[in-house]
Amino acid sequence: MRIAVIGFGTVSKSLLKVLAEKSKLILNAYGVEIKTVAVFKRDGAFINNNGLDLERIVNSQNYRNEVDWVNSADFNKLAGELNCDCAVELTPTNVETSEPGLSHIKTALEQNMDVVTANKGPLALYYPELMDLANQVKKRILFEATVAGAIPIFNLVRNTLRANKIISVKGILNGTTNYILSRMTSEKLPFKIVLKEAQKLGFAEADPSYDVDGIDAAAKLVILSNALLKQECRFKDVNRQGIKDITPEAIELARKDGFLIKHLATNENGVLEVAPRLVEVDSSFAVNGSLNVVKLQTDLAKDLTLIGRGAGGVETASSVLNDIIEIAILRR
Amino acid sequence: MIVVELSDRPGQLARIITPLAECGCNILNIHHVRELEKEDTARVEIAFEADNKVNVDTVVESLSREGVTIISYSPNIQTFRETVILIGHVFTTDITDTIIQIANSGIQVASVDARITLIEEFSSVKMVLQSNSEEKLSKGVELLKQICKRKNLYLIRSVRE
Ligand SMILES: NC(=O)c1ccc[n+]([C@@H]2O[C@H](COP(=O)([O-])OP(=O)(O)OC[C@H]3O[C@@H](n4cnc5c(N)ncnc54)[C@H](OP(=O)(O)O)[C@@H]3O)[C@@H](O)[C@H]2O)c1
Repeated sequence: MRIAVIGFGTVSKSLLKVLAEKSKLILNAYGVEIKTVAVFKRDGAFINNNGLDLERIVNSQNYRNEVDWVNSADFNKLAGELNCDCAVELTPTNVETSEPGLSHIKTALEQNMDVVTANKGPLALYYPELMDLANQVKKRILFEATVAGAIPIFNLVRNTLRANKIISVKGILNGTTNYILSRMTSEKLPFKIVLKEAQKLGFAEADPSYDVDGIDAAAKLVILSNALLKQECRFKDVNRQGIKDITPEAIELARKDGFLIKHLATNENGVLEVAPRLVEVDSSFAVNGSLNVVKLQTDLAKDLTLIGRGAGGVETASSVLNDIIEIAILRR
Repeated sequence: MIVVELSDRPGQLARIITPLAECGCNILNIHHVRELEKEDTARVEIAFEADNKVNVDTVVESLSREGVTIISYSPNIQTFRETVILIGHVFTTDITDTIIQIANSGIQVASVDARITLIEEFSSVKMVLQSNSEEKLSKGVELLKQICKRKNLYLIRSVRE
């Protein structure tokens, strides 16, 4: 299968490294060969019709000097000529316009490619439209990495809970806020100080609002709700409350009665909400550090809880690569 | 849960509390319903907790002996609680009014625990809301959500698992 990767950042580089290391293993195990013929950046792309030397481009010191580099190559313009089966969309998430991801995904579908993405923006804003478009052109969009990084929640439901109805979904979907709340609890420190510490350690962005105001978690909740609860909904449908106002005193009061404060994303009875909540200290949400949790309530299998890494290049690449292999197997 | 009718005069509540306590019941919630058409009587709903040894019939009997009019009783008394935390200017936005509004919706504020720093800074207040019906409790929490929105308070609810 021929793939084009759009984006050459943290997730993309990890994916390309793993592809370089494991493509023999994947061929032996599943009988599919994955050939990367293009990798796009903002100012151009690496393109080689016979397959790129992935190790080489990942380790390149000056990408513009690479033989396969094509200046100002743009995916939307070139897609028709690449002769690819699958586009892997890994550009930054944008929850206002969802670009450039939205155009990339539409172009790929229109050019007869399946799509794998880690980008939340397009699905958080246009899930119903994108799935309609994919159905029209008889292509797939797989998006395991968009929610809770390495946790295989969509695959779990699609492949192993086939006859189940998903009744509700709840989770800790943002590692940064979970880290901040965990530190506020263990160190009895105020929000501002813990945020600074998290920024120094690289766990939080310079502009932290995307995480601490619940924007990231809300985008993920919308994707979970559309995909698992079959509820047509969008980013604007989420009631959102961040964690900036939480005081160490509130955490102490909660602790006294056996509760922790966690930033939860919930869809119960069709109501989408991201807000800090009290959870019992022995609850399945009492997970510390930057870990994520997804809890499903189903009619047959009853309750299921998954805990794992919600971010990180390799962890996210694990989900992206599994989606790519699934598409390769289906196209075989 | 026992519902009785009492005349609306001081000292009447003691007529039910004493026999209940003597039977070994732990009173969870007393709700006074003043009916408009009956000016001199009040309906009182009493939710209580008792271990298995206490027989509801004995409780009813001892109340009857006191001359209390029993309207209805049901042996299954269950209480539902939800802990919530309010952050913000909880006191300067009239905490008494907040509590009264919740109580008027038929659910009880069973306890209040507060951490106050400086008056101009945010205080943190924990409340335990309690009711004998899950539905009433959810409605009470929903009401509290509205109150907090109006008073610009930050509300942290519990999550059901
Ligand atoms: N990092 C994680 O742990 C994680 C986890 C789950 C999901 N995700 C999602 O995965 C996606 C990628 O994340 P990341 O951390 O790898 O981001 P990143 O490091 O910021 O990389 C983004 C890449 O996208 C490229 N890009 C931007 N606009 C483009 C355009 N118009 N055409 C072609 N390429 C373009 C950038 O190009 P230049 O190189 O030219 O700047 C850059 O290489 C995001 O949507 C993110 O939300 C990330």
